[in-house]
Formats: sequence, C-alpha cells, structure tokens
Amino acid sequence: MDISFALTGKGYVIVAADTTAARSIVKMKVDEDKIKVLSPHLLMAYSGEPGDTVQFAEYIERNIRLYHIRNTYALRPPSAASWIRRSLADSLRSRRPYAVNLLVGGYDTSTHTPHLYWIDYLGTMSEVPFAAHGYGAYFALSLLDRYHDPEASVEEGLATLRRCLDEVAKRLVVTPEKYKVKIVDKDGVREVEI
Amino acid sequence: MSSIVNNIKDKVTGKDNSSKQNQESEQTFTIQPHPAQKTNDPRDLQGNNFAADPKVGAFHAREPYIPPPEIKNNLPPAQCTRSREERTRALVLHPSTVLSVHHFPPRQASRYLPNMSIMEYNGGSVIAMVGKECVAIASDLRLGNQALGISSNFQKIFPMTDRIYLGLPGLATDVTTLKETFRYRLNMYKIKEEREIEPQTFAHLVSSTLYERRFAPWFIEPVMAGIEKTPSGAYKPFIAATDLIGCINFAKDFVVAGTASTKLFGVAEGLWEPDLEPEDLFETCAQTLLNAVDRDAYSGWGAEVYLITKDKVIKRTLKGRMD
Amino acid sequence: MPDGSFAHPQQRSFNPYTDNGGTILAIAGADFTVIAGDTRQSEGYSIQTRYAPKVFRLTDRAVLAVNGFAADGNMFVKKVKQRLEWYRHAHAKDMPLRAIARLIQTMLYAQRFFPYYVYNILGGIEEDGSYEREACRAAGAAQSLVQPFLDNQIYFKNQTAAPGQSHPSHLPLPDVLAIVIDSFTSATERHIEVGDGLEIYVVVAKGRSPQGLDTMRGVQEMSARPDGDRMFVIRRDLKKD
Repeated sequence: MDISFALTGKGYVIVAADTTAARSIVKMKVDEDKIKVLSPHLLMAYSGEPGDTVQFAEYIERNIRLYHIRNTYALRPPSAASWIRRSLADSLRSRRPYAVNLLVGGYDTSTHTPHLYWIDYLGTMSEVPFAAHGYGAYFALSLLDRYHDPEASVEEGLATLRRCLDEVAKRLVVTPEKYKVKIVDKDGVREVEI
Repeated sequence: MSSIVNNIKDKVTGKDNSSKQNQESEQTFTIQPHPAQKTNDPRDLQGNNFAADPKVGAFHAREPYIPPPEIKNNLPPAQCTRSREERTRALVLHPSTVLSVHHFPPRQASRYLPNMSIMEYNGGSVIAMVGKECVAIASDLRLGNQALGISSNFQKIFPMTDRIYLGLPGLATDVTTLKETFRYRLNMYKIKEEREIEPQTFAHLVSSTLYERRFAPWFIEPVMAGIEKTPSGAYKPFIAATDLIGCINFAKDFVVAGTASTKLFGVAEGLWEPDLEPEDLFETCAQTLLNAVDRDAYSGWGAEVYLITKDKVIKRTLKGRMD
Repeated sequence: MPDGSFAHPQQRSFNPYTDNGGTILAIAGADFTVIAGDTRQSEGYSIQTRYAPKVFRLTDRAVLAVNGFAADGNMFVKKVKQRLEWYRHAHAKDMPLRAIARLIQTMLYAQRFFPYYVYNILGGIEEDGSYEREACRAAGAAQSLVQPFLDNQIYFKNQTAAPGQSHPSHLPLPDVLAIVIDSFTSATERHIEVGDGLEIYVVVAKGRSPQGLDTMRGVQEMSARPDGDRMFVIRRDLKKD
C-alpha cells in the first residue's frame, strides 16, 4: 500500500511519496518515483491500483504538457487541479474507472501562493494545508494537526515531514524504507534527500 | 387512592381541578379530518358526501342491484366448460411437464453501491429556513473519508445567482461536479434569456438535472434557498429540497438534508417559528445546525450560515466544536 | 423449492423480537424529576393501539420508562415490580432508587444471551433527596430528533451566557414541562412512530414546592401520602396522524 504526504509552508509545497512498488507480499522495486513533475511549478504524487496509476499519471502529464506547448504558458495550480479532478470524476462513471489517488501541489507564479489539493479516485477534491493518502494518513494527519505551520520555512516544513515519516516507521506494520521528497516553490521543482 | 388524595386536596385548597388558568394557551391535538371534509363526526357527513349530491351522483355507481326473488331463485346453476372430474385430472401434472418458475434474484442494494452507504461516505449536512422576508441556508464544513476527517474547510453551499444559494450534501465528488454543472447551465440560461433565473425555475432545473441520471444518480440531496420576486414586485422567501433523483419538496418552514438530517429535523421542529426577523432567523438556523451536527459523527468541523434578505446576503463562518 | 420437495437444504428462521416504536424522555431538575413517554404502540406502518403506557410508577418515588419491544418491556416492568414487592415484604420499606437502578442493571444482564429488547430510563428521588446520574436523556424511535434539542435547551450547548452571567444548572419545573411537551410535539410532527398521547410523570422531592404543577390542566396526583415525595401524572393529546 503506497503512502504519500504533502504539506504547504511559506511559499512552498513539500510532496513526499514512498518508493516501493509492491505486488502482493513481494517488493518488486524500491526506487520507484511516484511524484510526477507536471509543469515547472506543479507536482503530482499518485498512488492506488498498480497499472492505473502510471497510465493515468502519464495521461495527465502529457495533457498538461500539451496545454503548455499550445499556449506557451502552463496551467495554474487551481485550474490544473480542477481539470485533473474532472478527468477522475468522468472516469468514475465510465466502464472502467481509474483507481488513482492524488496529491497535487503547485506554486502559483501569478499570485505567489502555494496550493495543495487532496484528490481521491472518486474525484473528490479539497484544497488543504496538508494531506496524506494511504495508511500513513491515519498517523500523519493528527501530527500535522498539531505541528503544521503555514508560515514555516522549508527547513521547518521538512522537520515536520520527518516527524510524520518517523511516526509511520514506528507504528505502521508494513513500513516503506525510502521516500522521495520534492519541493515546489517560486524557483520551480527540486528534489531533496531526507 | 390517588383520586381520594386529589379530592381531599381539592377540598382543603378550595380549588377545582377542572377549571384552570392558562388552559387556552396550550395546543391540543385530535385526529385530523381528511382535507376534503370539515369534520370526523359521521353524523355531519350524512347526506353531505360527494355521491349523495344528485347532480354528481348520476355519474357514479349506484347502490348494489338486488334482483327480485322470482329472478334470483330461478337462476340456472353455474356452468363450467369442463366437468369436475376433468378439472381434477388436469391438475395432475404429466411427468414431463416443465413448470417454468421465475426466481427473483436476491435483492441487492445496487450494483453501484459497495457494502456501505455512498450518501454517508464523505459526511456533511445542510439546512435552509424561511423567515420574514428573509431566508437562511447553513452547512457544516467537514469532508471525510468515512470516519477519517480530511478537510475542515469543504464548502457545500454555492451561490447560483445573487439571490439563490444551493447546498449540496452527499458524495463529495458529485458536490464539485454538480456545482460545475449548475454554473454551466445557469450561464447558458443567462445568455439565452438575458436575465437571471428565478428560484422556482431553478428548483425545476435542479430537479431535471438530477432526474436525467435516474438510473445512475448523482449522490446528492440538494437544498436551495433564495428570495423570489413576485409579479407585483414584492419579495418572497423561497426554500426547496430534492432527493437524489430530483423529487422536489417545496416546504414552507424548513428543509434539511445530509447525514444529520434526522437530528436537524428534531431541533428545527423545536426551535423554528413563523415570521422570524433576519437576525433571529440566523440564530435559529445556526443553533439548529450546530446542535444537530454535534450529535452526528459524520458532520461538523465548523459551519457556515448564509442569511439572504432582499437587499443583501450575509455570510458567517462558525467554529462550533471541532471534534 | 417450488415443487415442495425437500431435496435441498431448507432454512427456517424465527425472529423473537419486534420494534414497537415510541419515544421516552427524562429530565432531572434540582428537586424533581420528569419522566415522559408517548402512548402510541406500533409495528411497521400499523398502529396497534393509541394508548399503551410506557412509563410506570414503581414506588412512591421511582418511575421507570421502557421503550423498544413492548412485550419485553411489559414483562420486564412486571418482574421489576415483583422484585420490589418481595423487597417490601422482606424489609418493610420501599427499595431506594440507587438500589432499583442496580437491580435493573443486574436483571438486564441476567438475560445477556437472550436480552430484553428494551431501553430503560429510571427516574425518581433518592433517599437523601438528591436525584440524578444524568440531567436529561431521550431514548427510542425519536431519540435522534429529541436529544440534540435537549442538548441545546437543557445543557445550553452552543449557547453563550450573557457577560457576567452563567447558565442555570437546573431549570424550574414549568420550563422543563414546556421543553418536554415541545420535544414530543416536535417528534410527533416528524416521526411516524410517535404520537397519539403523552404521559408525563413528575416526582417532586419531599417538602419541595410542586411549582404550580398541582393546578395544571389534566394533572392527576398519585402520591401515596400527602407528606412524602409527591408524584403527579400529566396526560396530554398528541397528533394522531
């Protein structure tokens, strides 16, 4: 079961996802990147049904890219999130829905604000200060209720994320060993080691 | 024993139990007469009913026809095409006779519904109330995944026009989808008609939008509130609600929907009264919502109330208890 | 199977329980207790009777309301009354309220694996003149309608007292009766299983004023002695549709 977290801070969004690709009880891969960079200031962590995830994420990635090429500018985070949500909502009532949960984090270069969207496979979307998917949510959300600060610096934000990962490592039976962490801010997207 | 005590007490106190003050001020209830009749007393109904009216009675069935004895007693015995023996023989089935029996499949909730209630998957509740030349509509702000709370800032009430607000409790994905659908349809309406939609018309738009998906419905039970402009130019409060396939309920007092609907009904029925002034309506609506969602695990986490009058709309965000 | 043969396994089931609707409610004041119940008894959409009491006088100062499966409720009250009579014969006094509460608890648990399908609310006055474990409680079909209303009106939940003032911890009897009657008219309006009639038992502690109750319309005094705890019953009509 994949785990992903995200939190906003002062002018940035941190997105983290575990790197295991599992099938049944077997770990098939331990360095899978489950966070797509959709545009210069937009990240998307995806999890859910294996197969659906990559298929859907690539469909989104290429269409966001197509919009960028056609219009010379990228979709802003609220619009991108709305379009992604609509893709899932339409898929839900199709013959074969995608079972993919998403965390969409972006930095709006026009208003200079970070945005984070929690989206599930039903197409439920909510803009939130912090979010989690998978079993990690049951441990991390209460921690984030206590420690999240929208005015925190990147270092403080990463420290808060660290608390979440440590709690999951301590209490969850099937703990992922590695996470990939990406940050999006005014300078674009970068990956950090944690 | 108790009657003796009562009698003694009456004599001592000099009071009579049958005549008391504040007797008139309290409500009494009896069996309600059918709307078409004024009374339940059978004597008042005699010779006064519909069929007894000679002008109308002609079109209705007469009393049962009882044939005179000479006809009644000379009727031939009832005839049957087959004899009794033949009929008995026909009842014994030939071994090769295949009886086709149709078995109904075991009742399932729906093939769209897994083993849980979709209407309660995300939680949330909405209420709308009528006041004196004003209406209020209020909702909680929780978004959950069953028992897990996801967001304490998930809006369920959306402005449709300046004077119509729509609450959409139910499955959260459909909240967003329907909000977008109505925005699209109202924009089209405005372009074609070159005017804003009226609440009554809007209620029917909501109804038909939901009924369009009769057999794969949107899992939403909309509640709407607005101020209507009558032909004379006066303003009239308007509320309505529909079920998830668009059956409209035009109520005169209040409408509720969502996971706390039974609680909302109970509190609203106790607190609401006719012709509340705007600020009193706000208080009534807010108290009803807060106390109802406090007894519901799937609703709460803050609330918002819209108070709509003919010249302004006031939105207030309430904190309530956050557990 | 359709041919009536027993070639396939047959399953029979018998459900010994049913739900007879109705609602009960109790509120404690500083020196009195109010225990009320509607009198409709229904099964499904049918009304079995418009007058089936759900509230019963146990002793001079204890009242028990039972709600749920009426047959179990009546049987349970009967057994509790029998135990109280035995107690009276053995000890030459009425069982105290606390003891009745514990008795009811053990009697219910004795049926742990074939339970009485009944929700009980016990109300009354304790020996030292105190009253409650809880200030208000609704149970039954319209519990979800009534309880949040009581939270608001009895506990003043979500209400802020005026500056420098505080909410009363106990309401006077006339206010409590008004809230009880409002609760039942509201529940009657919105719940099909509630209605027909309302019976409100009031137990007033010894020497305390019945606060104008004795002059109320439709009240009947049931006190055994005029100098002990006093018990009254008020009967009202509810809508019958």
